[in-house]
Amino acid sequence: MLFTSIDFAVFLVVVLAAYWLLRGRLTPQNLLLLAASYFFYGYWDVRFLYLIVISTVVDYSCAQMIDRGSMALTDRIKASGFLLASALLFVVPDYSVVQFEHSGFQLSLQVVWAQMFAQTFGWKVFAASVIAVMIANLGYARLQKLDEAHKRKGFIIASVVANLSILGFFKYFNFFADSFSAMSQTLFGITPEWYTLDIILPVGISFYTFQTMSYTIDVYRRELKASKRLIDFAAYVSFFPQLVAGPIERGKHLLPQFQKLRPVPVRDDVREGCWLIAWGLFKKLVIADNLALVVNQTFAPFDQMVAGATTPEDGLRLLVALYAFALQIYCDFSGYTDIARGTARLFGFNLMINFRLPYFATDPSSFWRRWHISLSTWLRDYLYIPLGGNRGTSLMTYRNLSLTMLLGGLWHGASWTFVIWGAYQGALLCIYRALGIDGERAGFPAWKKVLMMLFFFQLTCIGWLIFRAQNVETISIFLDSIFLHPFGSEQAWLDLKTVFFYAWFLMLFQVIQYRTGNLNPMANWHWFVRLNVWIYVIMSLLTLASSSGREFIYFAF
Amino acid sequence: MLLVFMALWICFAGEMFLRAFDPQPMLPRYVQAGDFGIRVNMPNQVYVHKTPEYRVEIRTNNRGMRANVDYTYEKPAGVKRVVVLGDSFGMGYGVKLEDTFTEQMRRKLESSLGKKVEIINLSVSGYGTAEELLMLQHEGVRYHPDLVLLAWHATDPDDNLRSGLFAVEHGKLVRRNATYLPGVKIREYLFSFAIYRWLAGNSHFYNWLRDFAGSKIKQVMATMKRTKVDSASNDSVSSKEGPDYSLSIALLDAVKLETEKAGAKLLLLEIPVRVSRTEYLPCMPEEIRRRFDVVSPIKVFQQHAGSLLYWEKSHGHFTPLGCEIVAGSLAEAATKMLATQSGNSEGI
Repeated sequence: MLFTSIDFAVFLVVVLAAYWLLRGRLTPQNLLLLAASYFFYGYWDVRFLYLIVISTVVDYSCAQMIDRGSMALTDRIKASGFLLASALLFVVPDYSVVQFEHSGFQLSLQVVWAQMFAQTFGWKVFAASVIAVMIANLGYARLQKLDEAHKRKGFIIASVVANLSILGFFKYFNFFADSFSAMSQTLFGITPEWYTLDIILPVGISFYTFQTMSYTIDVYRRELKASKRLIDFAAYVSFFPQLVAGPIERGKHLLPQFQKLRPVPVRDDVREGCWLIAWGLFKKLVIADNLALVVNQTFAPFDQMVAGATTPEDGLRLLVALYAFALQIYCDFSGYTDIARGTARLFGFNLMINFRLPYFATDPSSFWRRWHISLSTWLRDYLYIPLGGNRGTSLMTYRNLSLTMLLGGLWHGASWTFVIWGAYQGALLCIYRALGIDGERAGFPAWKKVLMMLFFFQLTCIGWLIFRAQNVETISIFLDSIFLHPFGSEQAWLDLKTVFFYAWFLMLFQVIQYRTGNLNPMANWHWFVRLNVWIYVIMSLLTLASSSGREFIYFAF
Repeated sequence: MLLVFMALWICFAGEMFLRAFDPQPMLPRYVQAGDFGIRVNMPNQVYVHKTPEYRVEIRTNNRGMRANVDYTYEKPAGVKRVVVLGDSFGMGYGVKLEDTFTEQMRRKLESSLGKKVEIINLSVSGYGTAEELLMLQHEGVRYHPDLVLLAWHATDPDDNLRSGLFAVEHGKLVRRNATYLPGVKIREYLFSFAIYRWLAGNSHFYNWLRDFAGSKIKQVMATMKRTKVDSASNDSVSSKEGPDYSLSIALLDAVKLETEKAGAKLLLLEIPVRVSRTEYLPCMPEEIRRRFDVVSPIKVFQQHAGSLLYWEKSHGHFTPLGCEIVAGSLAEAATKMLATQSGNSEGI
């Protein structure tokens, strides 16, 4: 279900009304959120809900074993029952034989019952789940007898391996299989024919896998107590506002909010929640989706490029398309985060800030403190620091930075361009660190800061070129054209005009946010100014929003 | 007091926003209640349609047709008459009178037939087939047409359902509501005020709000009608294309019957749905194509891929070039039909 669809608007109103009707009752509220989140996710594909359930049950159980060394019988029954019931509900039935139609307000549901439970794959998954549950329960007594250190280590490894296996299989199997095949062809002249599988990438798998992994790691590090209540934990893992594209929440921050009653939002919460939703929709529908037309038109010939394509002459047009993509990806992703945060706020939850004006960064460290903060802090806490961080020699620090960014790049997708992008980001971090450039340090002259921002924005855009390019040739043609053929055709100026037409208000708003040091400056403004900002945003949504209905870019990650 | 100020300010700021960022097409509709229960164009009016792409003067004659001259019911000797039934496309929104496809077709017909041709354009913006049938029965046949040209638009099936003027019961077309005058009384009342006429012709915010609200209301009404029709579909005739088209097809049958009774021939024009400058889609169900003489300019439109055939910043009517192509396709078919017609329908 897309945040930008009417379906979501109806869904949100219904869930919100039911949620606040249940105010004062924690378990029913969490159950409602769990059901709503599964419905939200199942709208894409019901089968993949089972992956979320596997992650939930594995991490719920592992965390208990790590934290307490044991798991109560009732908790084991709940976890086992939840897993098996989910397999029966999400994987066994073939929902493609259910036909839901509506003509006007007349709804009809047709089910071919004979085929509903006929698919053998679903039953195989169910049988495997039964066997897994039996083994886990039969082996429980033996596992419980392990000493604490072994138990803790064993279960954290089990959790990490289980999560990474799911992620690795669904996201990276074909990538590594392709790469292996290419290597085998190059080295031995043999191309294996069996190597790829028809795997669909489940939406948001990287986001919820990282979120649930951070929970068990935090429990292992004794920074967080394991959740006793399966409902709370399952609702935390699948919380629909941030399920498919983040922010990647930490157990320490979000889980406690599921364990106690949320306060009924006061007027300021509702105002801020609504503003975040409207602002997020504005970024996505008005800016990102409209600029996508400029970007896609320019990139289209390169996306389908065949070997031997010639270098285009219009470097300026390509540069404008790069700037447009920088704005598009920012507005697409941060727009999603804003809607997620605004939606969560209406339910009384507080999600972490994921973006802090990233294009005002003066250097790569500053950029990663501002861009996709939930991922960069995750990589810092669970990868960079465990690798040694900056505690060793300079060389080791550079290695750690490069490795972290390389994996950060790979997190975005199974493609060599993402790996190169990660390597590029790592290289930038190392170079700036080696040169000792820190544009954010106090006392730095403002004009120098602005120059550094502008310069670093160009470097960021080169990164976005690597990120957006579908092949390595595109990168070289773009750089060649921009630096050696900086002509400006009429189309280039038209594209530039389009970029300013849609993005000028965002730019102005962000300059104000930056100058005031406040991400929500509206709160301090006179009501009349606020009214006019609202008018601009709402009128833009009603009249300038793109009707193309694009998915959010980060859904694919 | 504060709320009133805020409401006024929202209107003002909305107007400023639209003028700066999204100028609206201003296409006021000068219609009134006709004698036979449906809206008709106000006679003897001169008004202007303005959009970011064009500015066109609309002038109606003494019977509300978009024309510079008045026509009598009696057909002059030696004249071929073409009665045009349609909506805003038929009326020629978006182009000057001389550029409308009907006028361009007239000139081509006169040249190919070697006879004077008169266009009796009875199109009214917003019409569906149901209103076009009534217009033909009450007005069109009185002009003794040689050819009836009906412009079929993708919105017609929904318009036919929404109007509630006709229904299909036990396989037969029956009259339901005596009138269908959506907002006409209010419009007539409002148009009596100079300030409203000014708003309709000059305010971007008013025009945007009216179109926005109108489209939403239309969607809801069409959905409700479809629900009703589906509920009663057990005893209605269902064509292969579904219940929506069965009413439209029955209406077209009735148009054909009226046309033949008047000794004329019926020609349908399919107005293609524009997807982009290079892609146009048909909007007519196959059954209609099979049973009626249909002219579709899609193939010629595709030969002109990339050209501006529909306006893009208004309600998407034909440009002069689009009209020229349509007129060419129509004239070819109409020439054949009129040339083979018997002489007894010649002018009195």
